Amino acid sequence: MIRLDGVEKEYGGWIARAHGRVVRALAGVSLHVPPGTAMGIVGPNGAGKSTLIRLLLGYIRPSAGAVRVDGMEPRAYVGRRGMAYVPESVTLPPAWSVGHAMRVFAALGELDGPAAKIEAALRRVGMEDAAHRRIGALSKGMLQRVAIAQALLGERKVMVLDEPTGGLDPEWIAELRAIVAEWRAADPARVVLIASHDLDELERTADRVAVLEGGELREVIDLRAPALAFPAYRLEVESTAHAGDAVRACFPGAVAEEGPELAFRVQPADTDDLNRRVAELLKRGVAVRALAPERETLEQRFHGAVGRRRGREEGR
Amino acid sequence: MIPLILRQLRGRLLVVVALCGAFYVLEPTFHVHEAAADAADAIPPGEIAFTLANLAAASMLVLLAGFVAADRRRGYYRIYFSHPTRPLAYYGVRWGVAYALTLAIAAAFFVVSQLAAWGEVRAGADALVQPALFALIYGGVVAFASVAFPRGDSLVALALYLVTDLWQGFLGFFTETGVPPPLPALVRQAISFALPPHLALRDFYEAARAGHAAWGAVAFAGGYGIFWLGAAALLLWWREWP
Repeated sequence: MIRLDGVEKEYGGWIARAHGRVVRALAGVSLHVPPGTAMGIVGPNGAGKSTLIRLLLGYIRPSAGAVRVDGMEPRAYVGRRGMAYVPESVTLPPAWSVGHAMRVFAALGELDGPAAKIEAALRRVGMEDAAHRRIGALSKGMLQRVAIAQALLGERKVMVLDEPTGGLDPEWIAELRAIVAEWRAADPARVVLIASHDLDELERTADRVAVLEGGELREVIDLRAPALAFPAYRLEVESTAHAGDAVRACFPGAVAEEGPELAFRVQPADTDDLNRRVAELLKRGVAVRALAPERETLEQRFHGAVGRRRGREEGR
Repeated sequence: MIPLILRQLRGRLLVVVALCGAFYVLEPTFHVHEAAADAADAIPPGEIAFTLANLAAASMLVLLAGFVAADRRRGYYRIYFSHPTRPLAYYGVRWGVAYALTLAIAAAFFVVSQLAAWGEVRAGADALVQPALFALIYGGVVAFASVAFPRGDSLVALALYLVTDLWQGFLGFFTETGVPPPLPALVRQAISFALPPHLALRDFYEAARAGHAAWGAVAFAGGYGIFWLGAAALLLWWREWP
């Protein structure tokens, strides 16, 4: 659906080039987003997330490489089919009313029966009673909801959300998650791209996450893929005089956690091994209070991806 | 889309209507008959074509001010053009609406002002050609400036209008006094060619009074406006969005 091949983007015209002040925002980014994918885009500030989104919307052109959306140049694609887009900072003429803004967007999208669609979109974001309100008088969160409403107007195949939770309260962050899920469910081939610093939110919404840093694609993390290795477990036992020794005997290599609870990080080989060792532990009279698999969070993987590069650079 | 654009232009239309009143008050052709009947006859009614042309240019400046530049500068375009529409088509429609409104206002002013001044329509319909051309010329200039610069598009067009007037006064002084102008003829011609063709409108008017049409002048004036419109379209297509 979306394909970037060796995309580079430099900012600065010929004057900037002459003075050596060209800014390289993206360097050789190749990324494929198949239909039906929710792709998160994360990275530190200046990583190139906004540039990537602007390229996808066709507002800028790559300096090298190619961007294709459904086989088309992005601007041609957007001009023909549109994208459901919620920008990071929502700017609309402040003198417009919410209703007028929605009518303008419906007209731009050449929607049939726009009134019903506008009403439905505003109702979905809880703004059905705010159609008469001036854009300039809206709070940031309400403005964000107007932007979400306009993104829901047409039958689009691609949704692009740029820091969509900024300005939304926790209730509306959850609601946005539900809206995106509904939108995806309506057509399984739909693609969602979400640029965000909120890794917890991305973990809940995205299927895959592209980690950008310094304009380069560091890693694409598949959040839905089954773990390749058997996970480590957190084992918490009733604190008795011999419990610690018993755990170490049953799980050689167990690492004790710091803290008030007697807890260890253990690494069994597989399910049978885990059950065998736990049975042995119980036989030794140790009471198990909790046993939970450790899953690497997106945050850990993100820091791992970004940290690996920093480590390499420091090593040079 | 057009009704929505018209709705957005309501405030600006009020400014243009106020300008109509000002142009009516300032145009001497409408008022000389109040002082002396002979003087009324001394100024041909067709002279109102120049007031109409200036009104049309002013109308375009007011209706189009910032029409691309403000969207680019303030980032309004981000949501607009995520919908299936092409910037060129969107701004083309906006320009077309402004042009049509300007022609309608000029036509209304043409009739109403004459009825108010003389109780009858004395000037011929050919007086509407100049406003149509002036609106095209200055509409083209504003369009280009709006795409090229982040702000001040209408001020650029207004400055160009004033510079053109000054330049013609400058040339007129040397023609009337017989003093040799300081610049070589080629430079003078190049500057006159680059500036908005105000004299082409005078040529058209004089030809019309003489009973024939100055199609060359019309083509040159129209071509000037179309050139800047085309340049604006090309630049809009080529430029990236900020």
